[in-house]
Amino acid sequence: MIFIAGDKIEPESIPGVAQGSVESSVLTQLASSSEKLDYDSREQLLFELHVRSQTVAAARELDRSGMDFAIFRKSRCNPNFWDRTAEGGFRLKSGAKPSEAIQDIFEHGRKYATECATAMVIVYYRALLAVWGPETFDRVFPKIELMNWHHLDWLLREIGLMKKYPFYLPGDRRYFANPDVDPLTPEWQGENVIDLNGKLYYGHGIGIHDADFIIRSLNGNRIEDADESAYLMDSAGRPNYKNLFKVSQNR
Amino acid sequence: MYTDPRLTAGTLEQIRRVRGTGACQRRFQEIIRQQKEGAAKLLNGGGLRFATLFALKPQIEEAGLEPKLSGKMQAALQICNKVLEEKKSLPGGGIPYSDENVRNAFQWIFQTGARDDGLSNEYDEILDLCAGVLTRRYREKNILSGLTELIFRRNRKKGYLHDLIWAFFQIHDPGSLRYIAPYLRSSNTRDRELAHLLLHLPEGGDVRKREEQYRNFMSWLQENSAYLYYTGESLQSSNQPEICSLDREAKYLGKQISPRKRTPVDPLTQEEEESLSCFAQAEENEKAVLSDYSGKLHARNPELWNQWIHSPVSEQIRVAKGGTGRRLV
Repeated sequence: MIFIAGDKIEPESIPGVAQGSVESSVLTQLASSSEKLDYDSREQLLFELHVRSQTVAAARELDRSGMDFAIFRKSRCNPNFWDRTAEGGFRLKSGAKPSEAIQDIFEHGRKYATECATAMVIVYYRALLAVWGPETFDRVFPKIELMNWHHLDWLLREIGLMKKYPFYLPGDRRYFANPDVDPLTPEWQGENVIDLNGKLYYGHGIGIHDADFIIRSLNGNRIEDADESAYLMDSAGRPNYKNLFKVSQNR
Repeated sequence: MYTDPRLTAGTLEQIRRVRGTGACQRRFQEIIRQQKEGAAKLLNGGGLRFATLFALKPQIEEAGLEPKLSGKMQAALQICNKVLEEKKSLPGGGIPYSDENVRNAFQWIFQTGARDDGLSNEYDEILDLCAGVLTRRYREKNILSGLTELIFRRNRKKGYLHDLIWAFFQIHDPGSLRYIAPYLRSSNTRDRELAHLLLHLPEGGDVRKREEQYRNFMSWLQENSAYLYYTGESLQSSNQPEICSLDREAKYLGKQISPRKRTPVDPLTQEEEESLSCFAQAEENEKAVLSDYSGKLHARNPELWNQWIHSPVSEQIRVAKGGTGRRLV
């Protein structure tokens, strides 16, 4: 159930949401939920729908970018925009424009290689760049460090924080855990993914697939005495859309 | 002919540490030239640390010395090659884990190699993966102290440590958290931050509060270790993972659980099943009070506990509220 400023609303009363779009799918799911979901304004709700839609688009775009998979020890980045840290993360180069540096990953994916968690962070930055445009993006994120869930900008901190929700939506960050992974291949200990539509997930290095495929792939990299299958964890990381919306209002 | 009896593996160690890897390699090359057999004996002679074997690996391979090396040394080289393969073959491929030499080699690599952490990216990768094999496959608890030291040392250097941390928790023994706990009271901020993160605790405050936090954690661990389980969360999935969590039902019953599976070590009796049904009826905040009270009473007075747990749940709550001095809100 969606409540705007205390009033329950139906999805049909929200204008400008195209049928069959990611926004429309999210809106329907929110409205049919038994949970009471409070928004301060229509604009706030539309903003979340828009960011979720752009997150899905960015995930699909990153999948096509050609960015390689590499463990952190072997990660690489375009040195024109990024400095590689000792941990294997990428820190925005002094003087580089944040918006151009993020865009470069999508345009010159082959110059980059990283693990799945960092790819998720890149997806969210790209989505916000699409929503805000370069000027606001550069103002809001003058410094960026891309390194899984650690060193995140405070505005994006919640995408690294896994919580249980009553239901999951396109644009959520989910995690497939592989408890019995072979210790010689810890990069298969799990797969961070973006939920594209509740059925398909984008995982960096693995591509766009359904849950069964991802679980099978993880299970193919288990220790010989494995007795536990990989599984999709019952939790998600979500950006704090309300905080991000406030930033939009102050543009 | 190479005949100098004063030369030992320790000599190569000494050269590497004092004069560097290059000098060690040059000296070893000289020895190989003088007498191949002696070079192999030197490596097998004991006192060699993994860092030296790693530095001499290209020369050992070039000179074809592997067959003359001890089983442990051969296994160590095999492990290095496996780890450094660009695309690793399927799990277990190529390494005979049940071979005692292989097990000894994993131990030897980690125990003698950890002190030279930072030698190169490849070297560190081998250390990290050996730690994972030792904890997950061999359940070697004797490396936990050294592994903890390595994690915190690398943390201070701001190096990559997520695989080491992952390896630490693969031992699936809540008791191992005691190795991390002392860092809660470290004078180094980075140590404390990491300890708080791994133990899922809030910042400790000033020195006095940090000491208090450490003591509280250790007594909490002692009280609850039989009821802790691994949640599946990790630094790879979350920036604030709760890696170990308390199973309130297990504590309520005083029933040890498997930390990895979160299942009772011994099957539940009919009576325990009934007690759990009662427990399930309680509100969430009441469950916390019940399990805490149960745990304390069980340790203090098993006979009284036995009477208490068989009373109606409303009575249990009433007694527990009085017994713990805590108020339900």
